[in-house]
Parts: sequence; structure tokens; C-alpha cells
Amino acid sequence: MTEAGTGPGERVGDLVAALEAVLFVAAVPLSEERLAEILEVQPPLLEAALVQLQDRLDATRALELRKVAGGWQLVTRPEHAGVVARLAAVRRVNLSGPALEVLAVVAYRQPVTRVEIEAIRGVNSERSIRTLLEYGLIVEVGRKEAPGRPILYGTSERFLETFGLDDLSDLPPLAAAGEGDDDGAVAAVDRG
Amino acid sequence: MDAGPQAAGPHLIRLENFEGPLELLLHLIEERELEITEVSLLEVTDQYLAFIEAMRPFDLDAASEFLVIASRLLDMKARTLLPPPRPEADPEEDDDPGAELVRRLLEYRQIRRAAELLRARGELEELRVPRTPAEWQELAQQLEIEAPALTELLAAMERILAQAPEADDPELQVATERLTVAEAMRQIVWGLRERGGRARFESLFPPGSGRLRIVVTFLALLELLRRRRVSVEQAEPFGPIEITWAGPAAGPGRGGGGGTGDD
Repeated sequence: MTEAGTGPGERVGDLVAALEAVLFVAAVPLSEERLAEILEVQPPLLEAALVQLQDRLDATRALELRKVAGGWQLVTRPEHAGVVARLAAVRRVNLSGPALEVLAVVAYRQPVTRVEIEAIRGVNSERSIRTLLEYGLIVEVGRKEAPGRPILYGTSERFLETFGLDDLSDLPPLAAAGEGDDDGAVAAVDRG
Repeated sequence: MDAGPQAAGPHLIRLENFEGPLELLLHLIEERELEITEVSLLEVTDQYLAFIEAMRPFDLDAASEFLVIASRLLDMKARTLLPPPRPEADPEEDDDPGAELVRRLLEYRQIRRAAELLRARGELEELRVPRTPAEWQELAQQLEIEAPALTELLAAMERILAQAPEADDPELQVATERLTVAEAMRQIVWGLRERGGRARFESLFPPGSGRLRIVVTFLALLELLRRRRVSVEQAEPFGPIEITWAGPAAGPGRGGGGGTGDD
């Protein structure tokens, strides 16, 4: 599918435009494999195009290219959040404290069962689990080979998108359980 | 900062604000800027008990978790008042309620911090707004999974039907065995289980299968596909079609119903 004849420079220029068009329509994150397939290019060329598109978007300061949930997606830049919100009600996931705690347990300890979640929190967590399932932030990922074969929960792709994570290794590092009282962990929030 | 029922007043901390005993304990310890240790636990024990006291009348459901921890704390306190056991007695035995509670609190605090990190990340990410995926996109995604597979499947199905005996399987007629779709689903799941979660499409239709059995089995396969219990792959055009278990990770391992279950 590579076309000899056209110089790599021109080819990348066209490609960047096509890439932007595809990402604009897609709205959801598209993986590099998928993009390469759609654009009919080899991965190295696609990577070059992604870098160029990023530069171009940086120059116009309206949109940015976000790597999330294993794919690439066009999103508005944070500085426009105000005006964008005036246009349309932005989908927000307003989680209660308990639900957020349950989500944290699932994110960092997955796959986990309800009983394991409750053991860590010291409190019944059924309602929060249900809420998170409804939001699609966690999903059932299987059954534990234990008496009663309890359901195992894990985080979803939606979770990655909501929290701007490329994959689970992208989760903010956890402070060691025994670490002192300074809140270093909270200060370490990734600003990117 | 005195412990005791009076201490609850000025702080205006209400028990309803705490979802569980660990949250309350952590709050009491952090409020006094203590490290999480057994000594700290003893220091906040009276305050903790005061909150429990204030919780009357007990809603037993909600209170039981608080009470379990309360008894732990009292146990710890009692031990400090009693003469220490002979040091050589039961060095193996690890029923130290304090150490266990400290471990749980540390773990709980770790998760709370993680929750804070997530909240912060979520708030930053909320500022980046993607376009709303159009409805056609969801459709396209569904089709992407099913449509190509479906046309291939139908083609394969036609080939198999063409080879099938014209009349219905006499065996089926004589025995008046009525293969239901549910039963056929179970058979497919069983078959997959025996073959380690993977099977050729053709293997679902043993030679000599009657049209009825073929059609019902095919319907069962479509149903399993719809429920995402199996996926269908074809590595190359006109290549063999492979059926793969795609249900819960535990796979079609338990009973025949495991894959045809309840949703």
C-alpha cells in the first residue's frame, strides 16, 4: 500500500490532513492499528503524521490530540472548557466519595470481588458497585475460582477515557501503604 | 482535645458523615495529626466510643460494622491494662487485634489517597471534551464486530446446508428428538469446552446432520454471538472460520449452562 513516486514529505502532509479528518469524525479513540488500516499506511508513517498533527493542533490552540484507552482522540483544550460547557451540557461523572473509593479499589486491585472490596473499606459497598456498573466505569470480568464463584470486577475502557488514562499502567502511582503522613502522593497528580 | 462524649459536640462531626468505621477512625487519627499506630488507636478509642454512643438509637444494620471495630478497640485497651502474657507463650499466634487494625487502616488510607488521585485526574480530564459519538458510530461498531463475520457465516452455512441430506435426519424424526436452540447452545459451549475454548465452524455440524439440526445449531451460534459468549474469526478470506469462547474468563468450564446463562 506504500506508493513509490510521491516523496515522503508530501505524503505525510496529505496524510496529516486525512488523519485529522478521520479523528474528527470518529470522536472515539482509534488505535494506531485501526488508523493505519483506515489510512492505508505503514505504522512509521502514521506515527510521523500523528506527531505533525499534534504540532499543528498546538499552533492553533483549539484542539489537542489525546492518547487515551489505547487510542488517539481529538478533544478540546482545557482552556476552552468554559465556553464549551456553555454550548452543551458536558457529560460529567460526579461520583460520591464512597463510589470513588470503590472505584479506586477496583482500579488498583483488579480483578476483585465484592467481598474483597468490602474487606478493604470496612463497609458494605453493594450500592457503589451498582452505581459504577451503571456508569460503565467497572465491568464484570469473570468469576473467582472460590466457593460460590463470586463475580470479579475490573475497570472498563470507559474508565480509562473518563480519567484520561492510556492503559492501566498509566494509573497514578500509589503511595506505599505505610508511607508517612505527608501527602506527597496527592501532590504527585499528573498535570499532563 | 479531650476525648469523651463532650468532644463530639464542638467538632460537630456527625456519624452519618462517615460511611464506615475505618473512615471514622482514620478521620479521628488524622485530625489529631497522629501516625497510624496502635498507640494512636488507643488515643482515639474514647472518642470513637463517644461517637458510637451518640449514634443511638442504633440502626443495627449500619451500626454493626462500627461495633465490631469498637469491640476490637476495647480488646486492645483491655490488653494494655492486663499484665503482659509470658513472652514465650504462643509466639506464633497472631491474634493481635491492634496490629491487624493498623494494617487495615494503612491499606484503607492508601485507597482513599488513590481515590483522591482519581478524582483529581477526573477533574482535569473533564476539561477536555471530545465530540459526542454519533449514533451511526455505535451502529458501525456493532456491525464491525458482527457484520463481516455474519456474511462469512451465512456463506459457510449455505455450504453446509448444501451438503446436508435433503430430508430431515431420520434419526431425529424417529426419536422425535426436538433439539431446542437452548440445548444447541449448551452443546456448542460443551464442544468448545472439550476443545479448549476453540473450534472450527464446520465441527459444529458433524457429517450427516439433518437440516433441522443444522438450522437450530446455527441459530444457537448466532444467539451466543449476540450475547458475546463466543466470537467468530476468519484469518483470511475463504479461510476456515474459528469459533472462540469469549464469555467470562473462567470459560466454558463449569457445567453446560455456564455459557448459555442468564442475561
